[in-house]
Amino acid sequence: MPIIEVRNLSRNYEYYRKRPGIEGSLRGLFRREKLIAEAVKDVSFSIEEGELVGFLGPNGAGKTTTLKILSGILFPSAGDVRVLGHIPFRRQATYQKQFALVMGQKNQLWWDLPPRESFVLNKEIYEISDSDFKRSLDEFCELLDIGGILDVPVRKLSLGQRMKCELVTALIHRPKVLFLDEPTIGLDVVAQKNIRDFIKKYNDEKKTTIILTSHYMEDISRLCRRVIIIDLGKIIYDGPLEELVRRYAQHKLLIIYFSAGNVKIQDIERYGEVAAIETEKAVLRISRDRVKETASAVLSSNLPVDDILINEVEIDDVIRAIFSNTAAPRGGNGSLLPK
Amino acid sequence: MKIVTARHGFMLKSARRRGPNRKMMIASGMRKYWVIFKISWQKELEYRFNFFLGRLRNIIVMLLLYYVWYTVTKKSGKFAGYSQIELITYVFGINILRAIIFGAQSKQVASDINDGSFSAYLIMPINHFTRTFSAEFAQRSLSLVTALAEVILFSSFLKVNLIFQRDAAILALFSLSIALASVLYFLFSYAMSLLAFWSREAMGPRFLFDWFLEFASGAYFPIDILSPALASIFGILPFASIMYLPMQIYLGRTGVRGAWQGIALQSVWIVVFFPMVLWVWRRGLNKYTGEGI
Amino acid sequence: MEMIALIKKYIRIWKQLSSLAIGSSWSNRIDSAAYLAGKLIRFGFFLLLIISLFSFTDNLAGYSQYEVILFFLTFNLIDVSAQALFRGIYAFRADIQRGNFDFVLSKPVNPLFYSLSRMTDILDIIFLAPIIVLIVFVMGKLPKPPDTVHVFLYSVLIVAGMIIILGIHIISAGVAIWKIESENFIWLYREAMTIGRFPPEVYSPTVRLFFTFAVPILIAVAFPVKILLYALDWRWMMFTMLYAVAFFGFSLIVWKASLKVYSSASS
Repeated sequence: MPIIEVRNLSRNYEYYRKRPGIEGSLRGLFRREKLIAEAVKDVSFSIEEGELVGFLGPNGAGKTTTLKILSGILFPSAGDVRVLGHIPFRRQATYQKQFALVMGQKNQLWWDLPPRESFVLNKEIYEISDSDFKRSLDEFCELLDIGGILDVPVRKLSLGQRMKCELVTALIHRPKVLFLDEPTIGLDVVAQKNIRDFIKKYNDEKKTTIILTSHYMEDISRLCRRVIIIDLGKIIYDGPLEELVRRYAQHKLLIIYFSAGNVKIQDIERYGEVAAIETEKAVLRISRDRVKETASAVLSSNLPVDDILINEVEIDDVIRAIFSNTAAPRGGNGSLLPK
Repeated sequence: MKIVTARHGFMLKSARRRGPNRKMMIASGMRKYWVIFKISWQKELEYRFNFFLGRLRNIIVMLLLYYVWYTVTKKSGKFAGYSQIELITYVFGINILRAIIFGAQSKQVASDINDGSFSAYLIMPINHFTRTFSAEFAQRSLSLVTALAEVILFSSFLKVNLIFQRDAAILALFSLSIALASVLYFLFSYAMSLLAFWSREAMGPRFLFDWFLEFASGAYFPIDILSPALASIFGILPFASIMYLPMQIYLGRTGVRGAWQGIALQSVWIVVFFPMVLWVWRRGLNKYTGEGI
Repeated sequence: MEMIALIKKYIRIWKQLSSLAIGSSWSNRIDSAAYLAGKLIRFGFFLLLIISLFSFTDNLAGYSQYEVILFFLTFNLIDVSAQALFRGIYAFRADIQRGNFDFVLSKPVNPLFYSLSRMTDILDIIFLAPIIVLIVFVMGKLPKPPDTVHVFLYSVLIVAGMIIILGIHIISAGVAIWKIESENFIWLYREAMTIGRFPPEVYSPTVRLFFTFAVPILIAVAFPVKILLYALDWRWMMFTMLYAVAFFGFSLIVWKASLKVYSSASS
């Protein structure tokens, strides 16, 4: 029995368009043009207990909208959604006590006061007993090493410390389901790693079902075995991460800068797949095991090479590659076809 | 703030020698403030609900005061040395003066400082004071148009007669006092906002200042209905010259001589406060940018 | 049984929210003190205006000096209490803009209760003390001092008034959701409230009608005083209480509808 079940979910919303200039403003005072956008289009998926699923997609793809619908904050325009057997937008207390939502860069901690005070507030809201509360708090203090900052006003904490406390606020009532919307955004590398390790450990130990959205490849690759990719409101991939990685992130990018502008594409093509070419720059996609030898081959050839860079393919690039026309052929509804 | 130093003066002189170029330089310099004016005007209209409600708010205060004065003058047609028409003109006149003299842009400065967006002004080739003034000008122009419409609407609706001052000398002095009052208000308001350089907490003191000003400037009631002791104290404070003085001039209650005296007082206050504001600005800027620490 | 447990839960939440609000006020003590000072100045100046008016006349719209002051004090009693208890609404719009309201919706707590109670103002509660003292003092100076029954009725109508004002706050919250640009709606209420500082007879009959029934300010702040002055008959009193209940019900309907709008609009 899946914990999260989504069938044919759709979500539209309206917005207004403003015309530029003073005339536009004056006109806008009395009549404005209403437009409709489809944030989520006919999305279906199901998630079992204990899974840690990554939601990927460019900005505005519909990830946050989907999470909000699962949290009961937004109504679906069409379709069926069930989490833990409940319909989220009914906002029943029994459902709300079993899940938690964390949004990166949005805090629910009180700014001027120590995190402990916000924890106590959640304790009362979620009706946690004093003993459960103490036990959970002690556990989190150890896991996340926040014992020392419990009584420091939130505004004096670093971004990483604040994020840790946000997580504790969300988890203090031991939810069965956790929605994480960009939890590591804006954090430094060390803080990101801490949060990541914590999420992994938490998922391992408590078998909490987690949906995670992120822009960082590291987050996804370290935590998620399964990813769902959303673009323009539709799911274009739902499957194991390995599969995705095998197809796209097994490559590195070889960026060649030329000192002369007369390099022809035929001269470069023999070294590998050309991802982009401009007058004085070419980008090749080479598989990881061959990139070094290709680089030396290019350097020792008679091409007018000025500079050469070897770059990782970012998850954003993976996605961009997926979405661009030069990448894998697509099926009728935009889904990825197997190679 | 531009202090014309000897060096600067020299630059201006040589610019003059360059002829038409100087005009173009000034024109392009001025153009950016015109753009700010346009954008601010648009911003006001963008938040249309906001704007309409802001006006409605002014109307309610105007009506409240109208009714109070109307009620006390119902029987005898006069009150505390004022005729009914004078009091009602006072109330409606204040509504228009508010649009000209009170502005909101200077308050924005405080939040800009506190959230750091003030830094943008330090990098851009733009004078903060002038920029604030241009944006202010836009907002006030819009408010003035609506304030006039409100007064016309309500005076015809309530069938009131207002005093129309015809004496040219008085009108001239009235206009002068309004201009000076605007400058005085702007100085105070700007200075209050600059407190944000020192404290995150700028809203509370602003609230305190605004309400004190509402009464001390005569926006709610003419200062001279207070007991003579209080009236004389408030009379000499700079705040009374922001609203009370111009209205008294308009109503003809000061006469030409009294008007000149009032204007002189306004000027004195401006001369006193201008360097103070400048000083606060410099100190604040130092603190903000970390100089002199 | 379940009801009692629920009430206890909300009392505990209210206590913790208030404690957080007080903590916040304390960390922003300059701001908080300045706000209180501003309110005191406003209070003081209006009182000064009334007293000054009466140095030139002995009658304002048929009321004597202490009667007019009583209207003013009652207005303050209700207004300040509402400010103290329902101040959360003033931060509500900012919360929605920042997306923090989403958190509130995802928790097992009534979002309206939470949003209203988020910022209990301790300084306003302190401000109530001198107001109540002044009211008692002025009651003694009235031309016809009220008996216990009428003081009781006065208190009942004050409660009714609070319920009406609460309704106004709830409607403001609803509108804040509906129109994201509506910064000024709650302030419109604040400005409209100002007409309650003076006795209703100051205004023209049309204005009086409008602010009694359409925007129920006079009914909330002036009626309690009238009953104390033996100027309100029992039928109006009954009407007021019914109106309070009906208006409150209406405000809840508006809130529910707005919540629906929120959950149908993307941020």
